[in-house]
Amino acid sequence: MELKYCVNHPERPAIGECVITKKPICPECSTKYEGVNYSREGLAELKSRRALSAGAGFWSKVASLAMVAQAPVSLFLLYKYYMYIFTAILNLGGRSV
Amino acid sequence: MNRLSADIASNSPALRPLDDTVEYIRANSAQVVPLYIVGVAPMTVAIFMLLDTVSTGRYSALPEGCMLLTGATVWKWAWGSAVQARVQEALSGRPGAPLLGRLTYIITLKLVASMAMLWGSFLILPAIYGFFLSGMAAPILLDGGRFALEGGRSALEGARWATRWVGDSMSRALKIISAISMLFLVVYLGVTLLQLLVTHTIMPSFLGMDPTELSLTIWGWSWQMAILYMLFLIFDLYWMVASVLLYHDIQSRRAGVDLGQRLTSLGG
Repeated sequence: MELKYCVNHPERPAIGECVITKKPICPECSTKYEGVNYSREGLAELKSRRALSAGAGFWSKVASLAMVAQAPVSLFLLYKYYMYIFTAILNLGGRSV
Repeated sequence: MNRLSADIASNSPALRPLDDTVEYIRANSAQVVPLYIVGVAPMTVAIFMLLDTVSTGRYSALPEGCMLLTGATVWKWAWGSAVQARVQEALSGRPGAPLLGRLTYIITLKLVASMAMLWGSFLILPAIYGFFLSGMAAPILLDGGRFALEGGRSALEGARWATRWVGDSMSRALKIISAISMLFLVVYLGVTLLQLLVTHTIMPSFLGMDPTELSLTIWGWSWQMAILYMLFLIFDLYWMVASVLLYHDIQSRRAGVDLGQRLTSLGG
């Protein structure tokens, strides 16, 4: 893996890159949050993104519930798919075995 | 193509996680295979019941068999998620979100992805999205990091992200699908040639046996379907683990972690 240097401290090797800004960062410039590395700017960006998505939370929840609610329909379609496949195999010559 | 996709497309060979998967399964089969067997046992029973129904031409038994197969598919998804959770925990080195709490969303996401694969793009998503989304549903929703958002939102956030990756890096996604399809074809051809060798050379020439009856069985529908199903099981387990490795391969680049090093430390 190519050695990269911290964007704020060019003399220090980077330990990774900020998942938001994609800039290489050293241990001092890095904050580990939820298991991944963020730079100071990255954390600020994450905070504003979270604030934005919190505003859209209601519709996300509605969409998630709708997704779970359609599960019986998808299950029925899965069943119909299996029926279609095995009926086709039966008609194509499975009976002749 | 955005920067993330460009990184993904250029930084490492697309097929490296597929190679790593073989090594991972070889080194950790004791942790992965038993769970997988529990997951596919009901499906195997259902498939063999259906093959018996097909070979005896009993139309009336098809609905019950297909209903059983539908239930067994959901069961397989649940246990498959447990397999993926175990692989994910080993790869990330930290416990992920509790599986039971996310199982409903994982199964729903897999169901949606399967619909995309089985019924085509007119319903929800193009088939290629369905293939990746189905494999990565559990890793995405169990990840304790970026996508660990509460409740149902995580399903949608995760889905959006995964489909964006496939769309933004289509050539990489196609490479992966082509490699797996080619491997399947080669293995299937190998098995077919082995059967030919047994019935046309080994049995009559070396063992002095009459292969007529065995040939009839081998080239019948039921046998061929059973062989295809057995190969499907091998490739299904492979893709189950590969999709977790693929997900972590992308994540490790985002987080600046060397996945190869992590695998080496696991003894994979």
